[in-house]
Amino acid sequence: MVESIMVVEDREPIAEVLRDMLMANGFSVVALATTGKEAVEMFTRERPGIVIMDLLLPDMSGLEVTTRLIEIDPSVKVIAITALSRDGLIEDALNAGCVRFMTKPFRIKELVGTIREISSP
Amino acid sequence: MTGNRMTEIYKELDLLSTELGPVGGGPNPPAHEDVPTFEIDMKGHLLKVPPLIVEITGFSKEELGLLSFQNIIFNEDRNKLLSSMSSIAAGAPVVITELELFSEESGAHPVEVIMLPIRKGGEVSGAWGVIKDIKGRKHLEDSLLRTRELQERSQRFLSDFVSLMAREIRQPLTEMLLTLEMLHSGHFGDVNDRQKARMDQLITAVDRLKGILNQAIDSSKDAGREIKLEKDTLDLKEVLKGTVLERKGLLESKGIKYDLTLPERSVMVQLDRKAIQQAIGNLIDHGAGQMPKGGAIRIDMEMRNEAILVTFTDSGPGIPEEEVEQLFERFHVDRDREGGSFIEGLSLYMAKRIIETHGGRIWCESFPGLGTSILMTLPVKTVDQGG
Repeated sequence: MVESIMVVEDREPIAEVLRDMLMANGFSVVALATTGKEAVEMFTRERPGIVIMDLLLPDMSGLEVTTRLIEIDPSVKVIAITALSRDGLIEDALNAGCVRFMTKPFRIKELVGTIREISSP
Repeated sequence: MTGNRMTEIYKELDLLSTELGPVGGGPNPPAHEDVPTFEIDMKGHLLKVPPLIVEITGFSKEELGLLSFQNIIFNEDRNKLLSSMSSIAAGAPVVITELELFSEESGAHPVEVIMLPIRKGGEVSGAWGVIKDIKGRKHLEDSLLRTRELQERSQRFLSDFVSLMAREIRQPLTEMLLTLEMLHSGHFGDVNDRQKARMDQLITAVDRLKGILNQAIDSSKDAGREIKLEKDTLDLKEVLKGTVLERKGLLESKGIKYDLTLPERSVMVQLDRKAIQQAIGNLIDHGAGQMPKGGAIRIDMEMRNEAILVTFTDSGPGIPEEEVEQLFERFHVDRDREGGSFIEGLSLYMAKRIIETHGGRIWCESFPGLGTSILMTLPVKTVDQGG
């Protein structure tokens, strides 16, 4: 089964290249959200199995959005991606329910490898 | 209160007991007038006034005789005085407290009060003791505190600034890296081998930038952090050898030969392995940074009395005298050299802090045109005689 993915990233050029890259690697990108509000709406409608979540969004924090998505569907797997470097951020992300944490910039093989690792068998 | 200060106070008490008889629950205050002690009753009325109180408050002895101790200190300190008096009443042999007296001149004047009980018929009827002017000491303590706060603030500013800068740079780097990889994979059309090779170079450059950013963030956080050591007794010879071996690949890739001269015997030193490895690694990296076109690094380790001396000598161009003096300063940058970076500056600053926290010393000797030596010493625990 092709894993369905939602990308939440406020910087459109990054969101688009992420979508292209994921599709080129055989994943189905069902939604592309650039705000927290959009992410919750699209998630409720599309119910992707995996969410790639930027932690810095214009309207709310990525961690807040993660908590909301997990409330809607506890089985969702969220991969946090961020350019931030604050101490304790990884712990906060894992406590919020993210299953993986990646610091930007990352290589395609790193993200693809992470998605394959957490995908349902 | 620091241990040193407590030692001073005990010395003062000893002096008092020598001059005035044993203190601490025993005798009452001396009868003679010329000893600068004070006396108060349990309500705080001043029964005997030393010249220092007259001098600070600007009141005459007669005026002070009509007042209580509470009248000449600030409101905030009244509870401190009451609590000291309660301790004296409850049988404490000595109470030491810091108070602020009203001062005609400066408004508030800090003093230290060493107070002992006065006993009459077995009951505590008041207190006596000495008052010490600590304005100078307080001023010094306040300046130190302010300097420290300022340092911490500038440190936080630096760390926040670097993190913010890194965040802004990481976003476009992400876009560049992912797009480059997509281009490389042929996603946007056919790519020939020559184009692929150029893209590989760019991808490596982005990776390097990512590494520099991470290092800058770590260093800016480390630079202000107190170095906490977890020391073990370890053979410095082995630690040095291990760290050099870790750098072997890096040195070879830069066309740098290395030569390591170690003593035959083990050199046992109390050290934090990770911290010393970081310091040694930083010194080797600095040496390598001096020779962008290749060269040689010699590392010598030898005993010098109670210490071990390690010398890192490179065959680079040397460092001008005025730069040598600033070499270990935080963010020192060698402005004339292309490879110089502020991370490199931080790395020597960190090495110095680590070595000094181990009780050692570090310095630089450079001969322009001939090369540079960085020397460090560490105190040795024992030298294994067995070889």
